[in-house]
Amino acid sequence: MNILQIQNLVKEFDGIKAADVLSFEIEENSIVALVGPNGSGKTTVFNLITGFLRPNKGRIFFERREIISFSPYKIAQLGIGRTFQNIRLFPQISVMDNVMLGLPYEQGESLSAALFQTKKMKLEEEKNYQKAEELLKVVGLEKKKDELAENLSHGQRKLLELARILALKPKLFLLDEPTAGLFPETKKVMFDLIRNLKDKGKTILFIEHDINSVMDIAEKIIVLNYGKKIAEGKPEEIRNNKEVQKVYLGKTNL
Amino acid sequence: MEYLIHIIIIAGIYIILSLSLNIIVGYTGLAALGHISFAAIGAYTSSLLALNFGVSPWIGLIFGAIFASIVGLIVGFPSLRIKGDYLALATFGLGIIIYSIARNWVSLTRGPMGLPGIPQFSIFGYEISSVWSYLILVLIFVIITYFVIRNITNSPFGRVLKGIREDEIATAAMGKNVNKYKIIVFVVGAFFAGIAGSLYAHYITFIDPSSFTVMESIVVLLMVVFGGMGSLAGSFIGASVLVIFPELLRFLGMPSSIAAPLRQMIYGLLLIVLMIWRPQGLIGRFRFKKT
Amino acid sequence: MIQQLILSGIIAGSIYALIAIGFTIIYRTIKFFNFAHGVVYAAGAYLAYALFFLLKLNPILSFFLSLAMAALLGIAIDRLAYRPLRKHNAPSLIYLIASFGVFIFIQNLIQLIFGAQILTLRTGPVKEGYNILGAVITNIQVLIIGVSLILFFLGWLFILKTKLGKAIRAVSDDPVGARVVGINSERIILVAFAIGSALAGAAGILISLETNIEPTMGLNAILKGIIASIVGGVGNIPGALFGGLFLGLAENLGIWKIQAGWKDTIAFVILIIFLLLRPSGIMGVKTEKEKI
Repeated sequence: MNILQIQNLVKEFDGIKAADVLSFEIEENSIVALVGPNGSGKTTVFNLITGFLRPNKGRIFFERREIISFSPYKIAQLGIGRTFQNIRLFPQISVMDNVMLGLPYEQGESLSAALFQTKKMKLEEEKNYQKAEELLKVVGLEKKKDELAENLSHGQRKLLELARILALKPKLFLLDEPTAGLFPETKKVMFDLIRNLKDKGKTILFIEHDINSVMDIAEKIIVLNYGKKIAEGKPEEIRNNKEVQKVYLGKTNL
Repeated sequence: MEYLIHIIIIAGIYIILSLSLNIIVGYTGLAALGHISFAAIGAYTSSLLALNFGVSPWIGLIFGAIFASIVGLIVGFPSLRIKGDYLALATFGLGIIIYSIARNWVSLTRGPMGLPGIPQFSIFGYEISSVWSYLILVLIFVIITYFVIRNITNSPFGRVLKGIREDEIATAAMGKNVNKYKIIVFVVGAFFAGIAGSLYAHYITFIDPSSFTVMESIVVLLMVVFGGMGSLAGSFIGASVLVIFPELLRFLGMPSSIAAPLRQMIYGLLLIVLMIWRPQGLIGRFRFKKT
Repeated sequence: MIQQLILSGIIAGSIYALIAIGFTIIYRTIKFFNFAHGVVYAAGAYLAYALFFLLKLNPILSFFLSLAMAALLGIAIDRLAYRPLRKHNAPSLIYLIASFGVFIFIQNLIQLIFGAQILTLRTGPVKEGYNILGAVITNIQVLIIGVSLILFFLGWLFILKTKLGKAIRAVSDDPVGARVVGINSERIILVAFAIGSALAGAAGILISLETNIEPTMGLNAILKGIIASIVGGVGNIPGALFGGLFLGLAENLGIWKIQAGWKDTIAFVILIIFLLLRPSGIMGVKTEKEKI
């Protein structure tokens, strides 16, 4: 079953097409990579799916439900979680609070619960603290939980961003260059975490530049150029695709 | 002695203003520069109700706060679309509009002539007119404000506010309805500013538009910034120091034609110096940063 | 009546435009709302007053000396208040708050020196004016409109044609690129503050030929200058002219049927409408950029 369907998406910025009649589908419980040269419109696609941008034309379905007019927060609540290319943490609050902000609350985020410091809220808060602690253990940041997020290294920030998105428990993960700028060992940790997600039944769509690691991890690759899909298929198909070699892989040694 | 108590009462009113601005600026990171106009609405609402309809100041205070928060709701809406410096400008503009309504709607507010003879609070037929009794009243409101704002900020709700301050887009990506929180914050902030305005009116028993100029809004902002954005203790310190300190000038025997501008000059200098050396304030931790 | 209101609108509008162009030139290099610009405008008027009435200098000399001093004041403000912030890489909101500090400091310094009472730069009684198309216009008013527009176009030419003006545009459009081609942005900011502040001082002096001066005159001026800039499109020079005249006329025609006290309210309602519906202004380019 398809968890995400993109149909004929068009998005223009000052006459430049960042998405040009783009269509693709993402199978549930799969790992898909979105690749393409700089400015090919990969991040725009993420912004369109998550509601931060509105397309000029086209439709987006998540679990067969049209989500094109939904606000970003609503889309997140439905089960699409994303990370950002330039890492968007909450720098001046603690690592712990960063993760806890990802947790979906039931009670505690209402004004009345805060105002009267209800017992329910406090219980929930305790439970969530433990959950967040576990997630920090998963990414290996449990020792940093009281630090301000701005004091983390680049690799730790990437991991914290992932922990935060794990807290949200989305069905579909949109990861924007999850391994960019990481040392090989952190990169491996990241990819292991991504595979792990798949084993737990999640779906992952990620943007990546490191073409070799994409070949390793992705089950399907979608190649964009100037907002157009120029190829889609299994890694070996992409490897042998003439057009892809021309615009993208030609510059890289495979 | 009476004078000293008077100063503490004024400081208390400014503490309420600073706490209520802090939740907007310091916790949620929204650059609101028209805070005093909410106080103006509280002050005028409860004064006019008392003067024209004989409504008890207690009820007037509640109506004033509610009306201020309705205006806060209206002011909150631009904050959903306008960001950063532009929001600062828009709220500044709204502050001036409200000031100019107080000044120009003469048939209602008597304009620059002001409203004299505003009745004082009374309890069981006993009028709260001595500075001592008023001090107690103001302190009670300071404590209520403190606990309400502390509870709000010290909770998952408050954590979302900080998230909005730190990164609005990431907060939305976490499934939080950012717009709802922003509006609530403006409503809550305006509510307490309205109370502060009403307390001021029934204490001084006279109000005119000159108490609610945009420069007053800047002074309240200075109190928040001076003490520390996102720090409630900071608001206590900021408001107290900046109310009490200039009074020392008066004790030095300066005539008010010198003391008044000198005090403002100190405020101005303090703003510059703080921005350069300590933008997070005396005991604050948060500072605006480039994104 | 309506003719007179249009005339008042043009007078106010040309002053607003002059404030707005100075503000715009500075904004282009520093990219924040410099409220202190308004207090430079007030300082210009007071400097002219001091030179002309207290030191008894010739009026033309007083005018140009005041402009030079306003330029120096602008430079001093930047050096003492904003430059340290640039070193800290502060966000624009911090600059904005600091500029309020500068504003409050200098306004009250003026009040401390000259007192809070109103003063005037006029020397004699107001002369009978000429009648043009049903509006009465005095010599002074002709002078105000004429000089403001001349200064406005000089400022515009400066930005368009001179080497320094082009450098300002380069710093504004592409700060990194400007540095690469060897433009010293600190020096450019200094030039922008000097020119922009001189224009603000000129506006302050010109308006004082018509109305009284008081220490608090700068706030209204900078707010109107900023509103004019936003209406025209922030950073856009022809937009500043358009915005200034638009605002002057809207305010003055707006009070045709209502009391004059509501003028400011009209201006701020225009501000908020523009901020909500068209923050890029009339002449600004509306762009949707990839912001995430």
